[in-house]
Amino acid sequence: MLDRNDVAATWIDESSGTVSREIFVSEDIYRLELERIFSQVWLYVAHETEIPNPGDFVTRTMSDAPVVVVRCDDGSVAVLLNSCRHRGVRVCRVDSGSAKNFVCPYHGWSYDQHGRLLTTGFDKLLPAGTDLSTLGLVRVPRIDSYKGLIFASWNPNVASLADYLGDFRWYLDIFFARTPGGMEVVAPPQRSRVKANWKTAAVNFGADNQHIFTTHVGPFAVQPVTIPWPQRRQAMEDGVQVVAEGRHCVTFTLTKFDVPFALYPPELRTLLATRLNPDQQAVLSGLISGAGTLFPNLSFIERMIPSTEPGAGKTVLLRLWQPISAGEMEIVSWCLVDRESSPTYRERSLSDGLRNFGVAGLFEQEDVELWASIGHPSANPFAQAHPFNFRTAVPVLHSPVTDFAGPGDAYRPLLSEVTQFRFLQYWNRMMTGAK
Amino acid sequence: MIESAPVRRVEDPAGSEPWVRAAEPDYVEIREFLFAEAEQLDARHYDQWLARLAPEIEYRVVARVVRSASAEPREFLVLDDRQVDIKARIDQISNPKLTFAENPPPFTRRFVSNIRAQSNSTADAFNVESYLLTYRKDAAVETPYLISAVRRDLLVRTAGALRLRKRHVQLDQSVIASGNLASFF
Repeated sequence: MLDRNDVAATWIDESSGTVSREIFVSEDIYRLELERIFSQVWLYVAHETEIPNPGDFVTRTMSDAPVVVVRCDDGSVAVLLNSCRHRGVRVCRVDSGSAKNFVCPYHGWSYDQHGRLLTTGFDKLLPAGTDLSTLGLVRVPRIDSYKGLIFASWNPNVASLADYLGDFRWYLDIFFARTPGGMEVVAPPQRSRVKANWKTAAVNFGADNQHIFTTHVGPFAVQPVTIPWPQRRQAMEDGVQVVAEGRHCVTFTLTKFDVPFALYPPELRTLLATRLNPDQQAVLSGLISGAGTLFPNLSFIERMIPSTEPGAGKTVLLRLWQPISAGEMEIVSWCLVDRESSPTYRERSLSDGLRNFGVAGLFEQEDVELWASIGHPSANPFAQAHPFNFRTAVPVLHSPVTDFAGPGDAYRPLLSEVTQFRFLQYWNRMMTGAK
Repeated sequence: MIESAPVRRVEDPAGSEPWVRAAEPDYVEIREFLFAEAEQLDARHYDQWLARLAPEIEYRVVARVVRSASAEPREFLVLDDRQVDIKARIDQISNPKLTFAENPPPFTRRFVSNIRAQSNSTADAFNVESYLLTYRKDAAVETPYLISAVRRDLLVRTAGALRLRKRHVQLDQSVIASGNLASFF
């Protein structure tokens, strides 16, 4: 086990743009991540629209701990450790549902939606003066939401969610809060297991723009092309990648259409402008595709539905890279639509989203196959003597561009590995305590 | 959230026609159809398999959500394809230059069993249920995996040959054991 004081200062080297292979394969480092990152920061747990009614719940994982995310009778959300205070049995053994109380199936300890212990079933046998209010389910101490995205933190002293998201809210608004109704989860999330380190996926979405030209030749070759390649290439030139708060990353390919929001169905176009400021509108209006990672393990992607009709619309997916070990993660994937979308558009957006970015996605099936091939070749000392390369970050690392309206540090070219590298630099700071 | 659609039963294309147990020769033909398509998919003869699909094919794969026995069942969608989408998938996975998921090709074996078939009165449409156990060994991962599924198909007879008109596949998993489900079921 790694000692708190022996973490390597050499995991990330800024001058060469190199990153230790070890951080993607070591179980010791994974355990340290749980302690120093996943136990400390805000983690995404659910979307508000998954649990709209009192009693609705979903079960999730926060820093390797199973939790129940429940909508309480008073409309608030509670996040409870899914383990009975009596003998540890899971009080909730399903993925989702609706419940007034959570009753442990082992001996019957019963808890309300806030996790308060109602009865042990044998209260009269308890020592006199036993205070049931001290025996509730362990509550995750901090819960907050932003524009439908519910986050929680195991750290009672964590800074506010507003502070944690900070300038990145400007970008989250573009993806998740652009119409009056906001976004809605379309169906229960896809879940799948991949034998790869969670950071591989986090940096892929935050954002590896180079691999599109090698890993993902297929989906562009076999599906209809909405926007011709010269315009797409120019959109990559005009695009930008941004790091906000030093840790959250987003990337855009941007073009200009004669009709604002031309890629969206006509009935959505006027609504899309209603909640965004003019600078945000300009981004969304010309957005061909955008992807990002909210530190540490929540990513998202919006892209056009491949079609010969420009107004065919977009798909928006939210991805959680839930670590299971150093070498394995569970991918949880939600498809979202603007609430005002027509039923037909919803279905199309969902099926296209999954056709490209799900467990059977034309993009994703290729990614995961390659991600799963990193661990074994990197787990030996011969490989670990030679770190991974993010060298294209180096030339632009200290020279963000100044002509982009959004907050944070914006970079070009889009193909530089700069935002991925900064994500890992932030990871390194949290892991080592370095400034 | 929009609830997932309830399990879609394959519908009767001929309206409210009563379905009867398929006659023995039809049953044998259906069984051979299912065995032959499994062989073609395992051999990656995708064009031959595609020719078995009716142009109006509706092909949908779902997986299960773990729910209380007293709660309404739910599923999550894995894919929902029409012919054009299936063709795009095949174009990608059958072209070695366009895929890493299927190049090198995985080893797959599809085991088809528990086939039950119902016929309409004119014996040109069949409701068919079958169980499918798929073994898959991906090139990159040492451990093979198994996926069990139930398939509810609508087969139609056109110009003397059976064609797959609808397929609804329900995978018996709530967390898909692989991140790569490039295969057909």
